[in-house]
Amino acid sequence: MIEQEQTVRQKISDLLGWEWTKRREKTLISSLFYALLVSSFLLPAQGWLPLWLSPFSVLLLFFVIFSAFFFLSRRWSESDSRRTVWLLDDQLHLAARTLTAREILGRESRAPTELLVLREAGDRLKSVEPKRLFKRSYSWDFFLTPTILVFWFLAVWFDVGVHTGHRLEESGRLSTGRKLKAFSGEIQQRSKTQGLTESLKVAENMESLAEKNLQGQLSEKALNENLTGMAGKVGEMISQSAQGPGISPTRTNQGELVDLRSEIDAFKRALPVQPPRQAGTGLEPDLLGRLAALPHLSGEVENRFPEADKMGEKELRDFLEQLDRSVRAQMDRLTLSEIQQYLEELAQAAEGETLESMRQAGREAPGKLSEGEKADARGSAVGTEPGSKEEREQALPSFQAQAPRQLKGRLAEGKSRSLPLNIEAPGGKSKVSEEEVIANYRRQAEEDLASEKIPEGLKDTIRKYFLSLGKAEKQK
Amino acid sequence: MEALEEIQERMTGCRRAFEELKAEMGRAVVGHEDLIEHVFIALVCGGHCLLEGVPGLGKTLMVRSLGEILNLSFSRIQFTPDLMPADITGTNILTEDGLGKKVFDFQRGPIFAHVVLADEINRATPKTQSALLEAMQEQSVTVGGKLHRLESPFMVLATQNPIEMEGTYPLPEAQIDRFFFKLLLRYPSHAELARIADLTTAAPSLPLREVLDGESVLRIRRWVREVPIAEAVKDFAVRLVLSTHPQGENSLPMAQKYIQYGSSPRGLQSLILAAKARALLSGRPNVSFEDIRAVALPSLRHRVILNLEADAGGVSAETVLAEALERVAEVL
Repeated sequence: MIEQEQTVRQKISDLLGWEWTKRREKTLISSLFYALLVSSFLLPAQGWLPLWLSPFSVLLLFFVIFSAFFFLSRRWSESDSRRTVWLLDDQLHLAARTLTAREILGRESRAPTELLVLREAGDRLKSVEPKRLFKRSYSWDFFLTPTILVFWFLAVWFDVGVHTGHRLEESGRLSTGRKLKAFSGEIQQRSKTQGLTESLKVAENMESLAEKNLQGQLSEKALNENLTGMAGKVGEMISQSAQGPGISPTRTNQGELVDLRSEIDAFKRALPVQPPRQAGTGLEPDLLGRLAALPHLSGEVENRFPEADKMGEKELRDFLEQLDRSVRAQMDRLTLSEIQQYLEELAQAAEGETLESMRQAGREAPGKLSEGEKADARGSAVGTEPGSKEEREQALPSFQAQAPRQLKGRLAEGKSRSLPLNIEAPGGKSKVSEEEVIANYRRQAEEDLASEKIPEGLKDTIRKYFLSLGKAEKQK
Repeated sequence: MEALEEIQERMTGCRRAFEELKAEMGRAVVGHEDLIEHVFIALVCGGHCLLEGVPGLGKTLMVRSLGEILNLSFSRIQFTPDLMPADITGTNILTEDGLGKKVFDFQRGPIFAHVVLADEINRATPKTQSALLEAMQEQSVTVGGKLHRLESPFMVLATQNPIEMEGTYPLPEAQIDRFFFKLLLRYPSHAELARIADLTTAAPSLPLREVLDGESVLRIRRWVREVPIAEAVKDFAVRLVLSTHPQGENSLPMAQKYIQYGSSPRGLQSLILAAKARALLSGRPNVSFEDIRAVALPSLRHRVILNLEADAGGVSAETVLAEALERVAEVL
């Protein structure tokens, strides 16, 4: 009897488990179908939804909602179990034996007749395979789901829907915020590397603004106002710093300044560790030779000390310190100028985008633009073509036009060096003259010559080689 | 395990006995297989049957044959308007005992038999009908203040003619309700008629063989009540009964339209008990939905009281019940 009882218990358990699995599968399919259906109908209205609510998010959201609803409404109950067992009886013509046996299994005391029911049910269910008996059946939503899924994908792919101003505005906001953050990050990195204190402060402020905008704490309009205000402040900072002492007012090229700073650093390292006690002592011929190999620095020294023979080492050291500060201040000014220009352009571009967005959404712009402004705005507007994200990126001002590029290479075993070059974006023509490149080579050679890695006997040979490079160019 | 084998043997025995009974009845009664089955089910359930059919369909023959096969005493009462209760139950007659003393001696009426055929019960007055119905219900009669028990098994098969209604006293609903089954006798088919002609006009055949005795019937009665029924099957029977109620929660549109009063709780008792008996006689240890369906009409048709609209529309209780059997789901 135990055997038949176990058989009945096992078979009923298998059957109910299988039916439950089928129910879950059907529920998931139904949920997906209805989620796709509703999402497809909502696609035209996608423009009114928040930007973070993408079509995929909407689909996922409805899938979760429908799943929860269906799982709740179609949850497995005792009547489901009863119906399933009844179907088994019906299918096998068992005359309610399994149904009766299932109830008997739940009783503690069993009458002899009830035991007989259990035995008969067990004998008849022994060879029954629920999965084979009750195969999966597919309803209409199963067959329609792939079709509607394809339809939904196509609709998403072709960006079907109304592009509302609010969404485009939000899109623009995020784009402006991201650009500002990226720019501030770039400036911060450069400022830290080059020790540009003022630029670093401004860059940090910019990042703070960008963060607020991205988090939705700062509206697009407020951001534009802030950008404009910040551009004004930066302008003031530039004019204030321009009033300070400047040794090289002619040097306005960031690359030249970077080179000059590198030469100053290299020459400082070449100077003896102990400064001379007396002023007016002439420079060593070796030092003069090295100075001659540094074109930017030698130019500045010639301007300051027309007679190099009378220049003492102490005076030269003081001059180098002063020159270093001036160069750094000039670099800071240039960077601030770059920031100011970028902020102004960014503010203009953002304003243009907003107007274009409103125009596309069929709304009246708050102020009418001139044709030229409209053209500019259109050029940088979001969504001039479907899915043209790249164009939106390009519409914003390029802040890297004058930034020094890094040319990296290996100069010695296990050591790499970078050569700052002022070049155009990839694909353009180099703006760096051959002289500058040679000067850079010389400067780096001087740095290496100052180190102990190069044998003393070879130092003169190397120096002569690099000096000959410059002479050969001049002769040509 | 031994008990199980015994029960299994019991089931098999019941099925075999029933098959033999049907075969033996088939020798005397042509057709009416379902009727014979229902009569036997009523017998093993301790119920009484109301047979409705035109004269000459073999009602008396069937009841007498049943008595012979079961080796039970049989009596027939022809109900007439002047039939008195005492003519059924019996009466006290003044007689002299051995000492010459006058004493009342109870003369038992025809009700004192195992199987009683109450022919054309609707022709007797309500008073006489009541006497019979009381005996059916109590399985005893009280005459002169003394209670007289009827022998077990006791079964009344009452007949009534559905076409001759003049001068009849239709049974009140409360009394009809006391019948376990109401069975309808249909007219025999062509083949059955031909066979009836052969049987009744040829030389008499061998007497019917006794298949069961009264004791066996009483034993089966006890076993019937031991047959288990699943809650789902019982629920189906309950919903079926409730569906006949016009004001019920699950009543059918047809019931709402044509039924005045639905089945009484006795209908449910009859339905389930008859289903159990059917399962047992089929050699099955449990009640199935099919058992309920098979006994639904004889159990409920006389318990459903139709309204005037149904009479006017020619809608019978069978039609409404057939609708209920079709519409009510076996499992919810």
